[in-house]
Amino acid sequence: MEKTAKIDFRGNTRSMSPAMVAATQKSARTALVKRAEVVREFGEESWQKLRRAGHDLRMHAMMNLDRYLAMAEEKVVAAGGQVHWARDAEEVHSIVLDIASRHGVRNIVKVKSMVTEEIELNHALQNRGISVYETDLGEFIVQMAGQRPSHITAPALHMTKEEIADLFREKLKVETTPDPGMLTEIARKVLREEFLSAGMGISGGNFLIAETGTLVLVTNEGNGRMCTSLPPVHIAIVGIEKILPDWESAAVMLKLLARSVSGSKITAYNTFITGVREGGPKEFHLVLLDNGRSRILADEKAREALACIRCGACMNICPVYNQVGGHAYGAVYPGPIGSILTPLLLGTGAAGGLTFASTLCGACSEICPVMIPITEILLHLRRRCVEGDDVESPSVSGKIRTAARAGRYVMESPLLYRVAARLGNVLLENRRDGDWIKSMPAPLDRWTMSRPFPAPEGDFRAWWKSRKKKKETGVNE
Amino acid sequence: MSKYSPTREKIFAALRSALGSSAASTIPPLPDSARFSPRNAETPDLEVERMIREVERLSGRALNIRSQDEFVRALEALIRDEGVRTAVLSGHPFHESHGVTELLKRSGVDIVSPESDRRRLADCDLGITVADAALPETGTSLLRTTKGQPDVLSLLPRIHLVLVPREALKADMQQAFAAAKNDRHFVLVSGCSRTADIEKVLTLGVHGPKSFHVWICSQFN
Repeated sequence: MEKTAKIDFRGNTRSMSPAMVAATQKSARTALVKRAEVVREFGEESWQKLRRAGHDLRMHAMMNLDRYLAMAEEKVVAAGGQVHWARDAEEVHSIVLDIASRHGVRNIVKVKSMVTEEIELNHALQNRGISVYETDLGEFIVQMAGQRPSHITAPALHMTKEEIADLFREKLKVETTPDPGMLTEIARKVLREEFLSAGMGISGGNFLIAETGTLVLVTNEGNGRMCTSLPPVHIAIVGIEKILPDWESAAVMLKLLARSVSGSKITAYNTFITGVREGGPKEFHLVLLDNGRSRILADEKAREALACIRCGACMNICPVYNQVGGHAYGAVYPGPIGSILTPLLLGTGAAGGLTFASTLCGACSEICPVMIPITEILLHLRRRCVEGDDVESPSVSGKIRTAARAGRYVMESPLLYRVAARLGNVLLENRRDGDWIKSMPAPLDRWTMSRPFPAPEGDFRAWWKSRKKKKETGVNE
Repeated sequence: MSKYSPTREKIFAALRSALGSSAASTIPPLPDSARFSPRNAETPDLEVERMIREVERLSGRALNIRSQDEFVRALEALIRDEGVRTAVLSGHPFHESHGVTELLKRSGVDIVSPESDRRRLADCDLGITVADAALPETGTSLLRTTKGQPDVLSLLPRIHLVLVPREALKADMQQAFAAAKNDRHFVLVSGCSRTADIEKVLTLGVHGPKSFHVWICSQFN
């Protein structure tokens, strides 16, 4: 297998523009405020029950994944659909190219789908001379700019309307002002023609309901409906973890999803597709993709990551994501969920560094609509990184491991700890410059190279003792 | 030889080894904690009010229509205000029993067949559908896809009008699903096609309808 290039999170953060970070924060804040409103309206207690139901039904589906997949497959086939299985990106590419060439397809319209980003499908199709149009407005913009989405539900949030207007003028040869309404109207005209003439539509899937083999697509713009109703062939590429047991489960998940994504109670369109229908596409192909998911399932401590429904709430609330933006994560899934999914999918050797791109504050686990214990999985993966795992070699050097061991030894002995703390204070005093310590010796200079380190205001033990004494004597501080 | 592809067999083998399960074992029932009680309906009048409120929150226009007279007046106003010249109606008995086609023709609107070419549908001003269920909680209409009510009918024309028989209002998504879950295709529609992909500015009508109307119709003739 081809070795994946190592993701350099720290390096990536250095090339982020402040404008991009500002746009990220604005977008995240808007989504969070609206989300808080709809959750309050739903009732906090009910919301917590709903999250519990979401978590438990997703994990029930994961723990019976093989059998639910077999059930879904049987139902799709009975409804006239064709089911294909793929272990990795290459297998999906060859399935899709095969269907496309059988129908002589030259133009494809696509609905935004994380899994097709994961397998870089557009690249594979374009290499064979097939044009692919991303039809979600944000994705259409990002594709034209030759970039990668920076957020899973708002792919172009890092771009300003002025940049988008420039892009439209250059690539679409149109005259436009940087007005979101006008830009949207231009995209509508361009894409409507593509919808009506495309030979094939490709979508992902938000859910696959095992009970009836029904594919669920959750969209706002209507492009999902266009792509799956107008072209003569529809291919849906779906990760095997998208399965839901039944329709009752679907009702729970749909209530969780829209509220978590954007603070809407529901999206404009939810489409339910079971096999082929009269008047719809002549062929319906469902490609079920593993691409590392069965390996995640085998890791008992990490498998809850498979419950993810790609809502993006963990990104919006993450203090790290909000400082660096989505591109810093160097992969398809950014933010806290990306920090666990990317190393799980690509291996800790390539992406283990992402598990350290977190403060472990836990906000992500608390907002997650399916209660994925993201911080616990981060810790588990950090451990896997340091100790080495059977996925890839350890990415942390022996020096740091030795330092960590020495640290543990010092922390475990009260006497050694006290001595070390005093020594630290004395050493830092020389380097003090007002409230800040401007430089530290290696390896601590990694911190002071990019930002100041606050100098200690005094000795904690001494302060604590004096505080206790004052309390006893009735003096308030 | 197995009737399945070797790739499928390998994926299933990996899943079973990950779970320590076997192909023969049956699926246990879902735990109670994985269920969520559906919402309870308020009084029918309050449900209608809620439906109207929620549709308007989604930038749609909603009306409670209680008589044929009100229906006629609302339709004439819609044609006038939105400049409707062509319309496509789903093949639903409601249209016939309420004389919708005649009313439109009388106002000078050309009727396009739902089975006509998609480019004709795309040029059409107004698409009229009938909801099979509606959810006041979210202002949602459930449209079953049939030969007479293809998906594109509520998608390609620039204006979408959904007629919701009052009795189609359901308290929760679960009840709405019960009626449609064995269909090959259906859609939940909640407002106009919309996007906020450019600087989080809400823009209506990105790919589908730019204008959305819901009329809740009590039984009348």
